[in-house]
Amino acid sequence: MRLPVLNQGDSGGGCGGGCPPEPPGDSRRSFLRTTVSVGAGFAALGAALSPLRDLDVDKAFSGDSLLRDHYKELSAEEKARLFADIEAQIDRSYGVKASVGDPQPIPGVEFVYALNLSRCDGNRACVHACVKENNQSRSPEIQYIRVVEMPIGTFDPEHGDHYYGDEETPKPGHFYMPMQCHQCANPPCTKVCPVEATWQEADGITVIDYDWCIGCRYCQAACPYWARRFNWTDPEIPADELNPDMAYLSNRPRSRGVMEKCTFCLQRTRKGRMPACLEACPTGARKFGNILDPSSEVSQILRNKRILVLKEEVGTRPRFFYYFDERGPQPNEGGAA
Amino acid sequence: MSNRPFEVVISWGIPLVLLALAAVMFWSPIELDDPIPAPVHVDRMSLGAHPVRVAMHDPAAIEVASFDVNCNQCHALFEHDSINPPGLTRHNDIVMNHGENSWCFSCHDIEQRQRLALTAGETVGYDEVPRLCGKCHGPTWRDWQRGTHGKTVGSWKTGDERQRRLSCTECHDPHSPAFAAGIPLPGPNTIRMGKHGAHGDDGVHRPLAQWMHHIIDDAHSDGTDH
Repeated sequence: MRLPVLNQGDSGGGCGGGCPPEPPGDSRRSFLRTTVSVGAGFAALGAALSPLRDLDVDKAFSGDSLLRDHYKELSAEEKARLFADIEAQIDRSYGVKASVGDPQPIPGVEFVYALNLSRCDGNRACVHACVKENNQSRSPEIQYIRVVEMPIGTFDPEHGDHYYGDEETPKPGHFYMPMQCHQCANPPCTKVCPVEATWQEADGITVIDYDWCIGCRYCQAACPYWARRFNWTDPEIPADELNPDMAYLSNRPRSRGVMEKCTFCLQRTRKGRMPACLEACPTGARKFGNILDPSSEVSQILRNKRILVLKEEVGTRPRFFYYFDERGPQPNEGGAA
Repeated sequence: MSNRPFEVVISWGIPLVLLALAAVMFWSPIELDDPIPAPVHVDRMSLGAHPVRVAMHDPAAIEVASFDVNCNQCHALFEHDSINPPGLTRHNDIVMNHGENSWCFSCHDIEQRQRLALTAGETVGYDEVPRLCGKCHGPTWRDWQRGTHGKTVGSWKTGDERQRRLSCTECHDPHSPAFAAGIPLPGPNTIRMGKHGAHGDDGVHRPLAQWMHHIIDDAHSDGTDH
């Protein structure tokens, strides 16, 4: 077999005169060919690495985030250092002095949500109060609450309309059902997580450690209430709209490729305050409280009202209940007489 | 010599194509459709955690020409028509839309105008509006007392000093108590939930419909021809 020979001075000497003479200029051509091939290789390599142009080294490898233990195994000092790192990173990214806290479940408290389907008029104030409070991405927008419009007399959320909004609400003959995380007592989402990045806390709130999440989206597939959201892109939040009152497990800024969900605003509720969606609701359809306190509003509702558990048959045992008032047809509910 | 052009194509063409592809990938001159929707504007006023409307205090404060006056200071001067409420020359800004309850003195005390009238001559101040409304709206008053109607803000903890249960007239206009219909705030604007076009009339989710509909249409027209 004849091997290619570069820069051969005696053109006929290599093969004993039996082969045709090499044309002049072959060595220059070989050199150019090699150069172009190598150049193309390097260019292709550069193109393959070009996504690194967008890499924010500060976001990708901040402080201890790469080498730390699971959240539940962190000591108080490690947590303090981690939270200080996050605060510094938020300051660099947004120029906002945020406080990242870690409020713990209150002993003797189990949170329950109740929502009055007779009162909700589909105005979506809750949806956007939630976005603002919990520092969700604005573009693409991530909304934890989805309000489904359905005709009175039907109950099929899969054929309901959650895009409504061209006409005034409440639309005659329709009712509105907001859906968000039901904070199940038997949550399918935490069972499917392969890395234990999501778990249920003692007060019933299911949380996610965004630094531990690998973004496989199994939990999103497992949730029967479509309560989990995925960050397809880097979240975009205007710095002047960033809520600086943050908690590690709830509303601190997320990164691309992780899941997020409603946490009953634990940065508020574990300090005794009401969730943002409830505070914003202009109809009083939303009720929140401690189910272990027999005098709380949610206890009164579960004792005295007619209750609907959404998809009760799937056995998730939600801590989110829908209830109804006994009342006649309303002026704006046209055909419901 | 016959394989010379082929060799040239292989040895020059492929690197050049790769170089061109690398350049395209690096500088991305092709404008791709951006699936990320623009952020929507939401008026901050519509998200405030404040009462929907400002209720009257007790005693009812009325300002006339920058003087605080008592209701009776005017009403003592005028004969009241206890039978026939229309034909008002004052309070014309009030829109009455309270069903059959269209008579002023169903709620306002006829003698003490800064008080509200319960049954049998008993009166309450403006700070006890729920008792007045409960005259007619019994089940709703019962629910409000339990906390299963109305709005409690500040704190979920029973007895917390931040907790406040709003009174009837902090949400409802007493003269026109039904909430007005209105245009809702913007709906889903995410990648996953898609746009309107991603759903057909049958409500089935088809996220690729916007890009695929030409192909689907072509396939359909082929199918009907045969």
